Amino acid sequence: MKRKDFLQLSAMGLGALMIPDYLYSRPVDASQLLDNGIDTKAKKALADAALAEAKRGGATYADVRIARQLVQAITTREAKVQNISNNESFGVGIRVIAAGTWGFAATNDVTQEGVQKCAARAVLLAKANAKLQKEPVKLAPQKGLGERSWKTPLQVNAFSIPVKDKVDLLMKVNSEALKAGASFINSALFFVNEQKYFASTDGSYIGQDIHRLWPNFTVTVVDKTTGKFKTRDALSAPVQMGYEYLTPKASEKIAGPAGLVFYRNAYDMVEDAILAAQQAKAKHSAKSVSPGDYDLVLEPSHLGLTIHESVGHPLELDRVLGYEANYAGTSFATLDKWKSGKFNYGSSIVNFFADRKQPYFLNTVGYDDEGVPAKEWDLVKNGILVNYQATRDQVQILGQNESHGCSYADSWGNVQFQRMPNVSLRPGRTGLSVEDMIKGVDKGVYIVGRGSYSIDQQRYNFQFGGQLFYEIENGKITGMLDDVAYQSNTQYFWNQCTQICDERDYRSFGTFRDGKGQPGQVSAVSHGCSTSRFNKINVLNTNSAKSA
Amino acid sequence: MAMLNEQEAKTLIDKILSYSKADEISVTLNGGRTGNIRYARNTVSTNGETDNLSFSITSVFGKKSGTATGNEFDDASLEKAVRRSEEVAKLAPDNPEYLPALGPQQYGRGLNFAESTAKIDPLFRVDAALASINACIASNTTAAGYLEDNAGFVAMGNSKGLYAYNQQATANSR
Repeated sequence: MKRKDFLQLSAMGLGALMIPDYLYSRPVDASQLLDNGIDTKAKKALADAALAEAKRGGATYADVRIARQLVQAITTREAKVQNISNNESFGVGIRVIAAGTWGFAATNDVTQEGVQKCAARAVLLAKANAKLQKEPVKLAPQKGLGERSWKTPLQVNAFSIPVKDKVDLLMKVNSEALKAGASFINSALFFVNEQKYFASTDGSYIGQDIHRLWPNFTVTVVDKTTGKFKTRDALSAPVQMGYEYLTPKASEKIAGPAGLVFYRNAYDMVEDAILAAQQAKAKHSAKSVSPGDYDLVLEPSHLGLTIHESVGHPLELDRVLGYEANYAGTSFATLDKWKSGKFNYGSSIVNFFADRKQPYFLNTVGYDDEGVPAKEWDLVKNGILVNYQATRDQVQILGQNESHGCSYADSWGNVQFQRMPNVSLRPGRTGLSVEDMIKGVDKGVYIVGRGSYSIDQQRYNFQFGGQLFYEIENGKITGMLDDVAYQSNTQYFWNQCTQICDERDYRSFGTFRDGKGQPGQVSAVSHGCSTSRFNKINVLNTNSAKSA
Repeated sequence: MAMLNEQEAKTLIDKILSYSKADEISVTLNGGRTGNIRYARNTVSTNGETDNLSFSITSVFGKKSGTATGNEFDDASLEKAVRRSEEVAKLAPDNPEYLPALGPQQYGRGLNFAESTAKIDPLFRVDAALASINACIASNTTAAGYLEDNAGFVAMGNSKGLYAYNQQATANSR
């Protein structure tokens, strides 16, 4: 083996460029990613020791999370491997209620003495913080579940695939994109495995083994005559699956308009890169959009981001209550709007549901980080705001006595708190294809893929770009557009939703690293939807030189 | 355990060095404690303290080097990590840019450590948050804020006799 290859493949001593920054993670050899860690019996004994210590100290409730996170990231550019990293993080986080107040402590000293000291520290923190507490913490009831386990129903553990095979895939992706006209390509594969063991004084002992992956690239095509460049990102979705996601399957492909190809639960990364190069090249001769009102036809790999930002975030109860006021922001969807029972979040065909159960979706689990079984519930029903996303200590504020199961911590070293579940738009109830939807549009834009965006801290006024834009005239796609972004506000936008394609077009969009909280934490979440139509939305031209 | 003083860190590093069969070995220890308190709606929301201690070992044979990391400090785990770094080193190709490790050095003491910051405890954080909240209540506004403090150390030593130790402490609020 040559030294250069060894450096590329050993992952030792290399930086952690672009990997999810799980707390206190450290570089390890790739072979360690297949190590099972400590067994369940040992975890239960440690958890029991910690819970007993917390109770001895005066805690009225305690939970323990023994967690191991494994992350592998491979990044490349053209014919070069830029970085390969394998990281592991292992430790225990203990949360208690004492004197009516939360306290949290964590350590990587996962021994009986270590977890007992950590539990005592958590109790001390809770008692100290009681001075600040206005009202004692109230937890929604959760029956102890005994010993349970849940794992991602994967076929192939991605960590069992040799790094060389993954590098070979990315090299193939890059070379095919370059052959198809790309000037440059950056590509990457990210793999995450969360091994979590939760125990609480309620009597739950839950082991979970969760696997996620995200293939991604950006193709750039430069027009050497003008010096301008155009890009197209991958249309993949990050998913909760094994390496099988990267084996193309004809049955998981969806043929879209204008020669587009979309992917459901199997991704053809090479094919998508070739198409990306062709489409980025075509963008150079695309017509710059004329600003004005258009009917928008939004494809799921695009609409998922709009759902995430304008529905997922504003319906997080901690935002609504002001707990994220100094960091992630608040919400326009205030409790008075919900209490009225009449707040039209969207048109009558708009139904949003939250869940942690849909197969392959990133936020799907067996149980949340408070031991609450995964469930599904409505957020917006027939256009009306009907609920939020809450945890055990929040849900009583809504007059409800059962947690939604939205608690999550990204590491043993961080405390669990309310995070966004999968938030999805229910598909249309009557049969409608994308082609039929487009046939009904006289003046519109069809938008594919996530682009740059901005949204205010209350999640109300926003604008979104995309990857690919096509002009629709008199029921037909007439060509590619460029420089497109739409500008609207959440309530107006969702009330302009007039058509939603049926379940045949339903698929997931995902985000691998949604940030929130202090200290900052990341979470992975998916949003399902079918292609949807929005009438009379203001479209901007983002090229100031052309729109001036 | 997460915060070792200069002598404790040296004793641990010397123990790890003693397991070496390589031409050269370097050990780095990182440890510390991070604490935080978050408040909103004029009350506490989340708070916590996290301890972490880890080591990194690099063994060298000729111009070949290998690294292993870990956070378990019993004798067996430490020796296993040393052997692991040696195995990786033996598998590695020669590094033409290899430079031998430094011998003993004289380093100036770092200026990034304040005992008062390192001593921040839960009660200090609560009082700081309370001061912020009370100021907001007095002006009929609502407080939302965050305070985080950190105290830690880095120590390194090698088989050529180098040993270095530095502590740092930080605090910030937003």
